[in-house]
Amino acid sequence: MALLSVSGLKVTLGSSEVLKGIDIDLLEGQIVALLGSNGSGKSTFLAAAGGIGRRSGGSVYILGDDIDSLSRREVARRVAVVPQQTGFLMPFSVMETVLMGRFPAAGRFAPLSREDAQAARAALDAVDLGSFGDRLVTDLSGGEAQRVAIARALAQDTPILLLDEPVSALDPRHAMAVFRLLDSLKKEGRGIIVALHDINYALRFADRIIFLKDGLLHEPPSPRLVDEKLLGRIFDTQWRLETLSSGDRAAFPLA
Amino acid sequence: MMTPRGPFRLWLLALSASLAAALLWVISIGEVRIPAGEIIDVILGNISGADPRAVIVLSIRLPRALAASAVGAVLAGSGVVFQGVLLNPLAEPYTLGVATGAAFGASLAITLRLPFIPPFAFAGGVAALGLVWILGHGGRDSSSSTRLILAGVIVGSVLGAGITLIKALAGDQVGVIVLWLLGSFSLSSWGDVGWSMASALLVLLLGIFWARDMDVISSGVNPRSLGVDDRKTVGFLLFGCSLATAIAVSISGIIGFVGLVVPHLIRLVSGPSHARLVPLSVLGGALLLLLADTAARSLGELPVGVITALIGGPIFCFLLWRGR
Repeated sequence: MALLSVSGLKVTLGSSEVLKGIDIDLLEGQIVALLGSNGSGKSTFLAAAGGIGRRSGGSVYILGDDIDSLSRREVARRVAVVPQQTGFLMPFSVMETVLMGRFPAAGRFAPLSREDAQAARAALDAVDLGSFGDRLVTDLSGGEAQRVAIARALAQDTPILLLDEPVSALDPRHAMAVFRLLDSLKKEGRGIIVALHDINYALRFADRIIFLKDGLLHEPPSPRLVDEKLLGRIFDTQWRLETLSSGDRAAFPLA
Repeated sequence: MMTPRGPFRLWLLALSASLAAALLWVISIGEVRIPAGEIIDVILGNISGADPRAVIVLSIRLPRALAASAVGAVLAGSGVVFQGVLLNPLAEPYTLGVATGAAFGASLAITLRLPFIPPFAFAGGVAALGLVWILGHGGRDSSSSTRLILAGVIVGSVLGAGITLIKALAGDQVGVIVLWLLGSFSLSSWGDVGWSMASALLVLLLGIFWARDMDVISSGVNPRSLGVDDRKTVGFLLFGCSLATAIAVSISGIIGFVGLVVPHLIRLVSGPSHARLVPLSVLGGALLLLLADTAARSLGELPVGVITALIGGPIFCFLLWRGR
């Protein structure tokens, strides 16, 4: 059974149809990389699939249940969404913020337990912010804030993770650490969709690479079949793809 | 800016003790001084109800002190909730036009000699909030935050003008309206105590049980991603706090600044977490309005709103200056 099953998803924002009918099944133990130009609808897709954004048509099933039949709280127990903008407003501490990831599972009235605190600490350790618990989120750098948002999603402990450009503000070391983290989450059987701009992370870590263009989804049968021609068509620019001595492939935009 | 955070329980204890001490002190002072020990004896029934001290305490000073405290709790607690769910540091019953709307509804009810004032105060408060919401709510960005307060100010001004008009047309009822609008606890009855306590309890319970939802909403994340149905929750909390505010306003008249200043002061020691912020603000609001009312009483029955503005204005200026 697919963890997340999207079919015929349409989203109209204002007068423009951003998504014109998207079908995708996310399976257990998969990292799906989602790429596309600016404004191609990556964020719109993730928000709609995660139940936090507008949906004009089509259906979303989460662990076999129609998302419209589930309460918000239940959806948040199954899907964690890491937004592109962290947008921290109030000076909550890092620990308080990550603990918010435990709220959907805890319910309204139950106090947070020791396990909740442990899960939050583990999530912070996983993004290399173990010593940041008492810092205020409003004092963090962009990259640190982004890692706090990832930690909050980890603390949610959901089978499905949707991440919207989670490494856009991260330095290479922390970006690689996030991908290794996603890789280990995938090996636990979780399903992950991650919107990216850097095709190289996708080539290296993704089990599937999907492209959004003109409101439609394009998926080559295998990431191995992503080639210069396909990239050129998606991004309207020329590419060079090379195979490195390690066997990994690397892509460079040329013009 | 680093926010220093005292231990929550210590602050809870300190504020509760201060409130209890202030209640005793406030009841003891006046034309007739009644020592704290005798107040407690009156309350425990050790002094006969016919004793003048018992009459002063039970019929005049105690209900007045309790009503003032409860209304202060409502205003501060509602301020926390409004600020938390509207993502707006300036939101409170007064700036959002809720209090003025309630006053408008009440004035109308008084002029038309209707037997019930609170339902009209409530309808006025909710209608004003609804209007402010529609005019000022454009999204989650900071400009919508400003729009909301602008809308509140405009709706408040128009309703204020409406109240003046009603007063001009009210004939012999004008005295009742003026007295009501001035905002005074001098005639507080035990009925007022019951109503104001009930609304304070409502705000406290809403604030405590929805503390996590408000944390999520005020943190800046899309609340739905953490399972909070923001539309439903925000509407529900605003409605509940408007109800409580309207009841408070129909007891005390319009009192500004308590709902604005207390939450900001408490945040300095509690941080933004609503599980701490709500109970401490409720206590702080009770304490502030109790003392403000005592000052108003000592200065020859000034409207208490004058005192809260005189205390609250400078504090708010300080907070603004500090937060630059």
